[in-house]
Formats: sequence, C-alpha cells, structure tokens
Amino acid sequence: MKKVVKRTLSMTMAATMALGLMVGCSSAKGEQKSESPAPQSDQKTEASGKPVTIKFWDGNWQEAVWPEVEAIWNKEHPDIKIEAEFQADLANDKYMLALKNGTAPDVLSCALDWVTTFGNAGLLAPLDEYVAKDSLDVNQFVKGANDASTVNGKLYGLPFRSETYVMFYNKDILSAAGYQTPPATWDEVKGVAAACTNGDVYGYGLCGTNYSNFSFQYITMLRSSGGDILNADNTASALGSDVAVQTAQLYKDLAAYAPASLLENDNIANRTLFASGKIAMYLSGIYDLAEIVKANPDLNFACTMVPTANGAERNTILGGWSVAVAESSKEKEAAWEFVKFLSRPDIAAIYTNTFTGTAEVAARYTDYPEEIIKPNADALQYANALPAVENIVGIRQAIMDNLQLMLSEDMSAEEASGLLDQATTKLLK
Amino acid sequence: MLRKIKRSGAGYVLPAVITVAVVMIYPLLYTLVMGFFNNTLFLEAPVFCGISQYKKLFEDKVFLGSITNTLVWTFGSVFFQFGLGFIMALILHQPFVKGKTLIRILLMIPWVTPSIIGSAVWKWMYNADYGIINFIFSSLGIIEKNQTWLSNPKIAMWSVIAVNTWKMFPFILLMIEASLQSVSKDLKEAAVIDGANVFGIFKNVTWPSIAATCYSTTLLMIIWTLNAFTFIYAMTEGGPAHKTEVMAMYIYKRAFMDYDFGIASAASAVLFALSMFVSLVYLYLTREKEGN
Repeated sequence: MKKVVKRTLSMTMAATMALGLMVGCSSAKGEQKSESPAPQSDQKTEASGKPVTIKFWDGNWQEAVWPEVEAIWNKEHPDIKIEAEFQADLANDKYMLALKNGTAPDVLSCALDWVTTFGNAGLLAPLDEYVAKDSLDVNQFVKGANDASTVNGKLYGLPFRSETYVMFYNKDILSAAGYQTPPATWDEVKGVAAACTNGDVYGYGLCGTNYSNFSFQYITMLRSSGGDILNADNTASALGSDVAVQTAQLYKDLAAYAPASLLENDNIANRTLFASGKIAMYLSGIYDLAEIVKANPDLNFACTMVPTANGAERNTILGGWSVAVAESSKEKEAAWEFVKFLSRPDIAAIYTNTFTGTAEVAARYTDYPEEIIKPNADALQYANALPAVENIVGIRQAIMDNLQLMLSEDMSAEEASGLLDQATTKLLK
Repeated sequence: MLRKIKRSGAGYVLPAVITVAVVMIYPLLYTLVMGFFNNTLFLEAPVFCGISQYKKLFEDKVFLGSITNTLVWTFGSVFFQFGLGFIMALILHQPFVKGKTLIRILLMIPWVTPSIIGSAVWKWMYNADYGIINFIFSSLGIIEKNQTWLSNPKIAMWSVIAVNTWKMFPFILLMIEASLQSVSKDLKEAAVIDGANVFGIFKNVTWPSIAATCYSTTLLMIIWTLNAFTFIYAMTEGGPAHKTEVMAMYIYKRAFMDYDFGIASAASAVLFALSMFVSLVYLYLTREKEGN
C-alpha cells in the first residue's frame, strides 16, 4: 500500500509539474483572468482639480534623454505627473499582453507597425476627437507615419520619431577598391561588394537574424527594386512576384560578400562590424550614427540613399515611433496632453534619436557632417509605411524564416519566395 | 483512509500540491478549451472550430519539425547534463580531491549566471568570424576553416544543447554529490571485507543509495527542458530556418508574432500531452528500480 501511495504521489507531482508547463503556454486571455488591473489608487481624476498621474512606457534607449524632456513637461504641466517606465527592445509581446489585460500604461510609445496591429485589435484609443477638439494639424507629420497609424479611417498615434534606411559606407575601403563614389544601383552594389571583399574585410553586411532587422533589409531592397510585399489594396501577397524572386536572389548574391556569421548577425552586429572597419557597406538608419562614432571616432564613413534596381523610383520603409493612448486608460484627457507634448517638433527634436515626426533632424546631430545627415534627411521623402494589415508582424517573421532556408540550405530564390508567398497568403486569411 | 494518508506522509505535501494545482488549473483548462476555438487578437470573441486547429497543426511541417526538435533538444540536453554532472560528482566525491569548496563554487558559476547573459557570451564565443571557439579549434588544427556554429542547420541545435549542458550540469552535480554524501560508509566497508572491487561497491552500495535522486533529478530536467527556450530564443530565434525551433518557441511565435492564441493553445495542449507522456513513461520505467 505504501508503494501505491508513493507511486500516486510521484504521479501527482509529475502531473503538477506538467501543469506548470501548460500554464506557461496559456494564452493572453488566460492571463487576463488571473491578473487584476494595475492599481489606480494614486490617480486622481481631473474633475477633482487635483494632480493626475499617468503612466508611460517607452524603449530603454530613450531613458537617458527622458529627464530633460520630463523637466520641460513638469514646468508646463505641473498638474499632470508622468511615471515613465522603459522596456527592453522588441517588447511588443509585453505591450500586447498589458493592453489585452487592461494593465497597460496610459500612454505607450509604439513602433509604427505596432500601432497598426494594436489599432486593428481595438486596443488603442482613437485620437480623432482630440485632434479635432484641439484643431491639431496632423498633416504636419510625415505622411507615412500617419498612414501607419490610421486604421479603418481612425488615427491611433502621433509620431515623434521617423527614419528610413540609408546605405552606410566606409570611404577608405571603397577608395582602396577603386571606388570614389558609392553605388547607386543594386547591380553596382554587387560589383563594389565583390571588389571590397578581401581577407577579413567583407563587402556587404547583411542581416541574417532578428526578424525585425532582416525583414526591413529585404523589404527595403524589394521596394527599391519596384516591388512590394502586398498588392496595391493589401489583399494579397506579392512575395511570389518576379521582382520578389529577383530581390531574394540579390540577398543571396550579396551573402557571398558578407561575413560567414551572416545568419547570426542582426543590425547591432553589422553596426559593430562596420564600426570596426570589417564591412564596407550596410543598410541601416541614422540611429546607428552615434554608436558608430562612439565605437570608432576615426572611421572615415558617409551615407548615401538606398540604391535602386530595374529603373524603379526609390521607395523605402518609413520606420518610426508614435505615441498612443491605451483604450483602457482612465485618464485619456491627460494622456492626450502628453501625446501632443511628445510629438511637438521642439520636444521630439530633443527626445528622438533620428528625425522628428515632422521630419526635422534630432537636436543631437547638429554637429554631424552634412554628407552623413543630408542623405538621411533626403531619404525620408521616399519612405512609405508598411501595409496597415493585422498580421504585419507575422509576415515580417515569415520573411526571415523562409529566406533563412534559402541562405542556409542552398535553396533557390524561386523556391524560397514561393514558400514565403504561401506563408504570407495564409497569414492574410 | 485519513490514517493511511497520515501514515504515508501525503498530508504534509497535500496543501502545497493543492495550492499549486488550483493556481494552475484555470489557465490549464482555459488553454485546453481554447485549442478548440479560433481566437486571435483581432477577433471580438473566440469562435468554436472543433478540431480544425489540431488538423492545421499536424499539417504544418514547421510544427511537426518542432516536435522532433523538442525531442532532440530535451533528450540531448538531459543526456549530456546528466552524464557530465554525474561524472563530475563522482570525481568531486573522491577523498584525494583537494579544495572541494572552491571547486564547487567555480562549478556553480554557470548555474547562477543569468541565462540571457550566458547566451550573449556564448553567442560571441560561437561567432563564425571572430569567435574564440573557432580560434582555438583552428589553432589546434581541429578545423580547417571557421565553422558557423549557430547558423549551420546540421550543428546549430547541438551548439545550443552544449550551452544548455554548460548551464544545467552543475545542478545535477549538486544533487548527486549531496546524495553521495549520504551513502553509508559502514556498507562500503562491509562490501570491501566481502571482497567487492570498486565496480562491485558502486553497483551494490553506491548506486542503490543515489538511484532515487538520479531518477527524480532526471525527471525534473526532462520537464524543465521540454518547456525551456531561453537559449534558443536568445541565440538562434529558432533558426536557421526553423532548425532549432522547439515547440515552446513555436507556441511563442504563434501567440506573439501571429497573435493566433487558438493555434498557440492547441500547440500547448500537444506539448502538455507530450510532456505527460514522457514523464509517465519515465516513471513507469523507473518505478520498479526505485522500489528496489
């Protein structure tokens, strides 16, 4: 009998542990029931005329500059206190859970495609009424940012940061290979990359991991070659098109001039390699500038706009961040005041590490050379938002998953593009 | 009945078991139920869809691959973790080993190092261009050209398993070494008097004393590893091309990239069934030996 009890207990313990495993896998709604909303006791309504406290989330790279912005806010709005919390990179899963559970902060700083997704899901508060009430001119903002933040005709965020990719190039490496000017077409890029690849110096830095970085690189190449990921009305995948196959082939061709660690390299790895003079060219945004200069102040580099192919008009992705109000916020009026404040050009210029939502360069780049800043500024006019479809994050993940097959298993560009096209079609259903 | 429970000691652990089970039971049932509902971030309410999501899952090559990857990841990790931990514990237990406390502290470093920090360090060590592992191996003439440890589909999983082994073998070592200290010296001396050699002592005295610890530690490691994906997430993101995508990673991607909680719930239920099956088979295989 003792043995039976012992065995039963062992089974029970095993079952309990396995239950623990399941709990870790439960859906957001499952967690919704088990967590209570964040305490709001310290908040006082505006109607009472007493100070209001609102909570704000942003990425941790903004933490250093926050005190300066907060000081201005406190001076202008002594009646509204901001409790800011800064999250690690790519925290969209944490944002989603908090928004779904009703535990989100009042104001969230969201990457543009997150605004699209959360707006589609009804997790953000529409701002149109507030915009109309305050007669705010949203046309002052970059069009692509407004497009990404507008879902079914409703505006869900105001941009405080906008940027697009440019090509960073090492002038010394190009010069040593016989090139005094950067390549203007993707065909030229292949030629320059081949000439620059020598020993442990590589011609081109590609992203092979991090779905966000990888997909931005591929889509930028695709758009600047005349293609796109979806059709004009965003109802069907265009990732099986001839241009998409050609772009996948371009990615594969450039991989020959990339470091062997290609599939392990994200944007930060490429930036590190570029800063240490190991790669000649790579695509990135102006946000890499300060880090490159910090890592290697003597690096002789410049930026140029993204090359094109097939005679296509230049078309890149508008990246950026907007401030949005959570639908669950109990202090929407105060939250709106903060959204307006942070997207204001003079404040955004301090807060952003790229360009403001109105395309003005960040204050921190005032002393940088024009040959670096100007291409970044000029490129913004060619930048367009990613399609405002529900599953844009999933589509970007599918781009990485399927093109990795091509890069790691010697699959043809046609086959990989076909699989990507199928995966995207499935996600659009 | 109450007397029997009291005598067995079940009453002592029952409150804890009940509390843990109650805290977990709701999410568990919710997840199992949601496996039968179409439930995405964009739907106002879940829609019942029968077993269609399970059908979709088992038609999905990536999911089927993730089951294989999960088994390789789990049994590969546990095999090496246990093997290394067991051997190290036996060596450390020997009387001729000096400075045991210092060695124990040093061996515990991987276990107490946060996984995410360990991942970052190992990722650079594995780096195909500038990693120290390629440097050492090529300096010793073991490899001719630099290897892509984390992006070669044939070796990426084993590279991550090596990191998981590094992280968790100290736990096994700790458990087995503690168990070895409880082995009766009198029995060992008696065995020596009876003419037993080293292997005879191990087989007839040491192993019976530490077997229960080994079985329960191994079971724990199996369950933890089935559910673990920190190293995979931080080092390969499931790549290259799903080659290291275990079920937990698949579930994460479906829930937080595609926002499809229905499919993620169905996949969670399959993972639950798999872990239960593995645990029960393991318990069945070890029950008689444990009894002895």
